[in-house]
Amino acid sequence: MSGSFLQALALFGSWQVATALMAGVLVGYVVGALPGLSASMGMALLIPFTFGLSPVVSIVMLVTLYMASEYSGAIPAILCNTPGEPSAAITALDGYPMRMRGEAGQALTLSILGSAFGSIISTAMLIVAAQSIASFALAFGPADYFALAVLGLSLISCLASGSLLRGTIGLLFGLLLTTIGIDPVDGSTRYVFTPDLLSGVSFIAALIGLFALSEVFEMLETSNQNPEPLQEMPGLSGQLSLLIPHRWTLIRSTLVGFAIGVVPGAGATIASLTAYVLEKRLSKDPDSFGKGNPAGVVASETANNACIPGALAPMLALGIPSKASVAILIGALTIHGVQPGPLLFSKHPEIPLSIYIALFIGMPFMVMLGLWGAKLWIRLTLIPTSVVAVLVAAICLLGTYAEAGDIFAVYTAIFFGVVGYLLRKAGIGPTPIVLALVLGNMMESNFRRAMLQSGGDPQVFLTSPISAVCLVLAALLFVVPIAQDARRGRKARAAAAPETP
Amino acid sequence: MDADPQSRPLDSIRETRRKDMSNPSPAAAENQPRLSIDRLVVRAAVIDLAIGLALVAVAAVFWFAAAEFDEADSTGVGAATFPRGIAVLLAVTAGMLAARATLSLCGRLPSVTSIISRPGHVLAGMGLVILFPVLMSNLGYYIGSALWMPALFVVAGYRKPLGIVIMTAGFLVFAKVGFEMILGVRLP
Repeated sequence: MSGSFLQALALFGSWQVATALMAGVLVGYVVGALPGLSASMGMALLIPFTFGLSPVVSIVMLVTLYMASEYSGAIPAILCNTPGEPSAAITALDGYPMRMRGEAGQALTLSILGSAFGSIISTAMLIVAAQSIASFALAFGPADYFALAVLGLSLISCLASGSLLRGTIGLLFGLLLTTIGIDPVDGSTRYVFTPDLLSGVSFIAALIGLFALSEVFEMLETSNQNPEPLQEMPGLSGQLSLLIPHRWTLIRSTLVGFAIGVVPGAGATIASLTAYVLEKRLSKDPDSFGKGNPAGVVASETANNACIPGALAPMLALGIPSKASVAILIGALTIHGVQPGPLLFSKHPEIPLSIYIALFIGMPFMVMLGLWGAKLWIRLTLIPTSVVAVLVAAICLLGTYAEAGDIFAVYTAIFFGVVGYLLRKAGIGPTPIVLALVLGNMMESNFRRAMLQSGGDPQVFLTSPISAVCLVLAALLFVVPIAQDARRGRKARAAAAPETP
Repeated sequence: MDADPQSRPLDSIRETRRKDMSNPSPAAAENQPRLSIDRLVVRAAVIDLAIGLALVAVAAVFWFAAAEFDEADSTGVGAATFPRGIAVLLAVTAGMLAARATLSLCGRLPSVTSIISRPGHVLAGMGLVILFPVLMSNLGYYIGSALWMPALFVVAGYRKPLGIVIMTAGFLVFAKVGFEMILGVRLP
């Protein structure tokens, strides 16, 4: 093992591997920061360039791209409330209010440092336990996945505190939208009012519309106002010290991100959301979340980057893709004649070792780029809102077209932009809808598969230990905030009673 | 269940004020919808009622349209089960929102006002954004954007001609180099 490790480390001294690492980080940084371009799209675009490269050089470039894009999705989320990656939607909840207070530099710094911490610690956990944790992930059956999706959806009770009704409405609206297209089990078409809807509502177009275009319309309301004055950015030591108050958040979010990353299909969005909700629950001031609490940014960004090494565990140990980006990695390795799975560690030990080293070495490079870039990015906040609104609208429409390659996706984004703006006016934010779009298909398809396997017996959801635990947790998460609100209401009424004549 | 409107998202942008209906005298006129150049003041209950009823209608459409594929399998669960279940829940919750809004409009619950600043600019901006794919389809991406971006700059309130020309041209160069040449995206 140590001999193989030294051999793999020596490869990183070659200019090809070093160039691939830097290229992967730079391309990932740009791809993640552009709304509409996802990590998987960037990786797919790079694959043709890897044909003439060695497997190690190819995998280093793709893995670092994957890692960098997951971080840089936070940049537009913080600066324009426009998530570059779906998981950055959770970062925007507190990152954007921080930017509105003139604290964009602090938010960007916390996001890059949190990402770095999550990624490095999670990589160490991947090295130690890749094979054993991947086996755990295989224990998940359809009933467990359904329960996991329900647990994810129940987290809305924490995101929509103060207006659970409105959050639930957003969630149900999003779930209804996921039923458009081809039925995931028997293949029948549902609500396909036009052939363009055959593959369902485009997730990227909906995400861009709900977050970015609706924000553009909000900006038009205030585009005659001057931007908030920028707060002074601390020096490097000051930037690093910003993390100290959040050390426990870092540890908790890393563990959450890694554990969720291991489960195929769960993904970085659920990891970010779970870590965010956990921090909110543990906070002494939960009401400050969603209004610019730095802990929200740290939790979300740490978890979504900790998720990446976790997601690589099933790929390396079992050859199972846990998400689209990892499926592309498997494809890239297969092109080079390398088959991920149980034999990978014995037949091609240089591949997993190169991935570990790339994650370790690529991260400091990304941190330097991120900290240096933060000083430039925050200058964007000084640009007048009238200019930002137009540029955000233009890049979103271009990004939507680029991702889908057809004009219908642009119409979809605009539809969701207008709907998102109107729903915001009714106090229904975009996050519950996006959460439902992420989890809806997973919830329905696994519910029906579980019912088929059990011959229609709904007890299957309670007899599986994983499913039962998830459902109990979901029920608690949904009921406890309602009970707490009711108790607070009773206390407030009791306190106000003596003053009433 | 539906508590303080101050906790609604993006409070820093949207001005929302709680008004006690038991003491409406200071600004009773603000409870009446009115349109001016700078802002539209409207009771939040009116928006809630409209959104609630619209979502009930959406739920009804999904419920009835599910009849086309309502074929349950041996377990009693089919393609229509999930969407119909969600549609019922959406109708119930959106109905609750509409009912609360109605009570508020009748004076049984505290009323809240929402202020939409510069509604004319927002409507014009929405119109331009909706127009973009039409321009893109008929004139091509570059000519369409060359017309569309300056118009949106003006609507957003940016009126410096040289700045508009430079930013529009710069963005189109970015689209050509970044998207068409590097990423290989074919733009119409």
